[in-house]
Amino acid sequence: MTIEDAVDVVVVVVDDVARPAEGTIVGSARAADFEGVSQKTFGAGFYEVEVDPATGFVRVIEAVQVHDVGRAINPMGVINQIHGGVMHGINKALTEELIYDPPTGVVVNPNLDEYKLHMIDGMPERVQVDFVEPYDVVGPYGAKGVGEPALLPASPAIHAAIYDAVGVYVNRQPMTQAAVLRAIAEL
Amino acid sequence: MRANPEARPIAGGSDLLGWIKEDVQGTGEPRWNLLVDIRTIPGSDEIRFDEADGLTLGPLATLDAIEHSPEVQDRYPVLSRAAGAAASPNIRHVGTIGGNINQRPRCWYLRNTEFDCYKKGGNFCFAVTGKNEYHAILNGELCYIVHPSDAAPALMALHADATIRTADGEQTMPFDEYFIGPRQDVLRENVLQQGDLLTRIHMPTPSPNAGMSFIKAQRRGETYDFAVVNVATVIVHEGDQIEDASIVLSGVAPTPFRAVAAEDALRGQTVSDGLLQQAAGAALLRARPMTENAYKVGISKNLIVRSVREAMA
Ligand SMILES: Cc1cc2nc3c(=O)[nH]c(=O)nc-3n(C[C@H](O)[C@H](O)[C@H](O)COP(=O)(O)OP(=O)(O)OC[C@H]3O[C@@H](n4cnc5c(N)ncnc54)[C@H](O)[C@@H]3O)c2cc1C
Ligand code: SF4
Repeated sequence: MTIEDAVDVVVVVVDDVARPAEGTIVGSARAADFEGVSQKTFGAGFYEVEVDPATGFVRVIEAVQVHDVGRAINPMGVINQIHGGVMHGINKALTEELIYDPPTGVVVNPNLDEYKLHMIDGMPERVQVDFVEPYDVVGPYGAKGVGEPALLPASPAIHAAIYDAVGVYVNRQPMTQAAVLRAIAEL
Repeated sequence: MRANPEARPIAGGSDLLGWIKEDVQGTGEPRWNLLVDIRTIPGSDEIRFDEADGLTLGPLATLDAIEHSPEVQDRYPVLSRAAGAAASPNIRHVGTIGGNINQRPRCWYLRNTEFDCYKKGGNFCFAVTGKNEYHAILNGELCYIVHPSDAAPALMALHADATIRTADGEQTMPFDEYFIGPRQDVLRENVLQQGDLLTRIHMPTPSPNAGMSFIKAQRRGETYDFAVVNVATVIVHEGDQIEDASIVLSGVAPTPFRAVAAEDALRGQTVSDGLLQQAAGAALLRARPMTENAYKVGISKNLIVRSVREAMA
């Protein structure tokens, strides 16, 4: 299955939920009736990576991410949030780590020089993000949320993509060159 | 500058101002109270190529100017690529080659005011008991920094000379002798003493049969990141027949590391996969990794093989 096919399946499944007719005023649904009811957010991510077995360097070359956000009150905001989640998730998977000196407990990388975030060239060449809008009865105006959910798919998908590329699951995050090469060596 | 132990030359300031801002201090790096701007010295940023004489660089030439000089791109591609691999475009516009060569190491204990290590005049190396994923695998002793410069290995691979001005006048030496390790003096990374200046860089015209390569392995993308390992390679060859090899790595030792054993193994031989593996193995034979950086041994070997292949392509 290609990334495109997989996304179609997810979109069909999630879109298949009743939503109010166009123009209906739904008002705020945070009513007493829904005390104790929690919202469920859904999303899916599809990632393709290149691994250089000589250096352990991992480059994410394609990312596709789709989220069920309830009603998108500000669609452009939703799209931007998912883009941010893609980048944040890639950093979490590959580079971000607060490093402590074990004997003293002092953080040795308390700056953006050593605490590594990707620069813009770390963003995959191809990024496709989308959302579906099944009406949510709990959230305000049928909305859910997409703050944290946008961050979640990248790192498990990148673990799996590395497995697909070199046949080994790296058992830690971030997956630095040292971690990737160690995992390959233990294969 | 010589009379004042707290005076320091400043070029682009991209390294020096970071030190001052972070207030890192010690015997080797006092709190500077006088900065002498050397950018105003006329002609000190020259980039001059002459077929008979070779390439002369003033220490104030910026990394960006060196990267984009047509002569450097054409005749010394390893240097153009090394200069272009350092830092980020904005730092390369202010950062000079002299500053790049003389920049201080990035060891995260050294650049943290909480740790008074050997290099600051203290009596302990925190990298030995702590986090050393990015420290030296070769020639460490007392101190396990890696030399941070991308340009330095390219200059060494091209057999460049440094001219320095000291209290005794001017002196010229190959860059192989310019950088010094912790065994010689743990407080410095090169021969310069307080008040000395690097005044000129010169390298010969490469053989028309020279192929060159610069490869840098880094932690993220292609910008704004010091090398985990880099390798600068110059191979003089006729087809598959290697006449001469010059291979220098950074990111592995306290000084740029000339892979003499690999050069010897390659010289006069016909290239083959077996020969390259053997040469790379020989170069790393004396590697003594620390607790977290053994992975650099493999990267170094792989990059030596890859860079010789690239230089001969
Ligand atoms: C975020 C960041 C990322 C970087 N990444 C890389 C990288 O990937 N690769 C890399 O190679 N470098 C990297 N650098 C280092 C950068 O290349 C250097 O900071 C720059 O080249 C220094 O040049 P400058 O002219 O600004 O030097 P300055 O900061 O002015 O000087 C640096 C030091 O050299 C001394 N000095 C300067 N010129 C002379 C001279 N002619 N004679 C004697 N002493 C002199 C100064 O006194 C000072 O101690 C990075 C720097 C930063 C801040
Ligand atoms: S490696 Fe060198 S600079 Fe780093 S803590 Fe040890 S002595 Fe200090």
